[in-house]
Amino acid sequence: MIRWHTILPLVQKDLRLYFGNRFYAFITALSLAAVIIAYALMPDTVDETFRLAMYAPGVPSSVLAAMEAEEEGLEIVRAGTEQDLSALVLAEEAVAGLAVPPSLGDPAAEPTITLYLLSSTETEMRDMLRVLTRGIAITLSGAAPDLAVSSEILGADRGGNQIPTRDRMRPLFAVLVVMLEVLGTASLLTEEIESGTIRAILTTPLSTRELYVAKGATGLILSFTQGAIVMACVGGLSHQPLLMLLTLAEAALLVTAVGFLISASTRDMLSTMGVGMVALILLSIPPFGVLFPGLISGWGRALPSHYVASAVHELANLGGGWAQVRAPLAILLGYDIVLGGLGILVTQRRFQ
Amino acid sequence: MSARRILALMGREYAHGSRELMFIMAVVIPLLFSLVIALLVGTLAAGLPRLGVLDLGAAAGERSALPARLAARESIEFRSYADEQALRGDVQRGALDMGLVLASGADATLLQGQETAMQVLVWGESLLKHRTALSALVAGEVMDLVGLESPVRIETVLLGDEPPLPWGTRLFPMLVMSAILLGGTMVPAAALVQEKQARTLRALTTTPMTFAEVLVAKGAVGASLSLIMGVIILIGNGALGSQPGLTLGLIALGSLLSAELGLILGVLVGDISTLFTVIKGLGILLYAPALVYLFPSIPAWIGRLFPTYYMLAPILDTSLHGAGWGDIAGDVAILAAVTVLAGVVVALLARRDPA
Repeated sequence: MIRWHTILPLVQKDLRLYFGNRFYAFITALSLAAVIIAYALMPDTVDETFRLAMYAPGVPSSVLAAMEAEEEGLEIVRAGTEQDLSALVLAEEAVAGLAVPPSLGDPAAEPTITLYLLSSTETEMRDMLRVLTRGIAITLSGAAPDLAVSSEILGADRGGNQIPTRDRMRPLFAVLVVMLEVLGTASLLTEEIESGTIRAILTTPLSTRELYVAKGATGLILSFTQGAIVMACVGGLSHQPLLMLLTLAEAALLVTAVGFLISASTRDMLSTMGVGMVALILLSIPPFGVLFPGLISGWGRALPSHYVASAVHELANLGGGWAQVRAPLAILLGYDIVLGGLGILVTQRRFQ
Repeated sequence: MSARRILALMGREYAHGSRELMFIMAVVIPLLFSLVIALLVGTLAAGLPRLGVLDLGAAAGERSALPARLAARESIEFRSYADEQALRGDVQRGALDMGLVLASGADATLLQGQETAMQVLVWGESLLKHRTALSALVAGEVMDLVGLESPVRIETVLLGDEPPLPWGTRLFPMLVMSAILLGGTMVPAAALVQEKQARTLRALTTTPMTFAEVLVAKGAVGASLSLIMGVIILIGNGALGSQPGLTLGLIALGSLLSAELGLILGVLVGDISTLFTVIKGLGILLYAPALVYLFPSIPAWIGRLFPTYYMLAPILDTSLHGAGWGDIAGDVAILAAVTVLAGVVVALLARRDPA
């Protein structure tokens, strides 16, 4: 049975100490502000097309319009003269300019397309634009090879409706802000261990479990509140806010459990911070899988923060609901219980 | 000033200080940053379309020439697959923008001018421009394979005179700065502040050791760590340049300035919390030249307003652009002057009460 009246003073003391330290309070506010400002400054759109300037006096506008409609990744800006074409490229209003001769389609005339590029265009992009130019020439001349292409889209088709990078970063923001408290939570217990007050506390009627709950509540409040503030500011609470808050609460529980496990198994503050940094780096890996799909294969699922990132991505970016997040949340809860239990066990074995 | 006492303190700093968080961060962060840049710029951030090909004829000895042609293109990332499940899985999870399944004997049917079946798997979240580019690439390579004449010649005209500036090059200055400044500035500053907080600095200077010797020892540890990390980062990125001796000398000078800045901070700041706060405030000034390199749209002269520019620019000029002594002498002279000035400040501070 947990006696809350004995736990509350300990929680209040820890919170007072945390916010009483102007440095910690400053850094906490600064890091939250940095995340929110970074999100606000990042572009909210995805550049999905090649914007090409084209001077093609012999090609009817309808043909170009049809090609644009066929190839969704192309956006064509017509130029009146070849000078206009190069001006558009120099002004960076188009990634490249194509001057298409009227004789296109007449092999006897040996037509030449002039491709205008900025000299700062990277080598790979130059190759890509030459490939694209050739593809356009093939389409306009009707010389395409005889291929029977069957196409299958895997996953939801987001062509033309991509998730902006800043929104893809929401899981990263959530995980980083919440998981950063691993260090804070671990230090809560390590401070008591280093100063020797933990033994004094445990000689009072407070049990190890209650101490764990008290310290856990402090860690939970700190990490959950910060996660919720950031998610509210980056639009993460605009869809299914309760499920998002539940996800953040489970993430905060995970942080508390990992923090205590580290604290109970290390000697002093220095080793706590060292191991904490390693844990923080490991836990920060999975959200990069959302930011750069395909980066992390199956092994990423072994890290509990994968399920935080996955649930946040599902709720904040893909419009998912309970059906989509119940599995990751259940697994995350499992991690919370197992790691939390281990934390209590290790603390008990060490001090009793 | 006793070299023996300084060396003894340096030995102690390396033996015990190397377990300190700041020391570990000074070593780990530049390496991690280097790894992240290599990963992001080498693959993901480069933003190249990713194509995977499964040649069903390969197992039956009817290997298509198309995969090899596609693999040779530098504008895409290419992977070859041996089974459809793996290809499908990678497209599904976004490791590929597009997967291509070539039927057995595809080359033969193409060469006979017959209609050839081709299965295309598209990742739903792939960018439209990547789909367009990959389709154009495959169509073009098929035309070349079957000997269909290209309908046009393409002549490229380059406008402007700015060379390409890949992201790897833009981020490199930041990497060099973090390698030199983290070890050089943070380690001696944190070590001094910790000694002050633990009240061991006064104890140390009541021994025959003078405060100046303490500063020299801590500064030497910071400078040597900074030099080692700078060299590791340059070697790791293949950027020692054509004159490695000159580059090493420049890193050494930069490390010295960095350590002097760390000592000044360490002497003036009273506790670790204030040190972090000051460094956060100064950070933007120290790293400003690297930010100017990162965004070419910022006028280059702005970078010259910051003293650390003269630490960074000569290193980049020799390591990346093959510059010689004649090209960088002016900047190095300014760096040397700033280093001497910082040294004078440290010498003046060494006369203060250490605690």
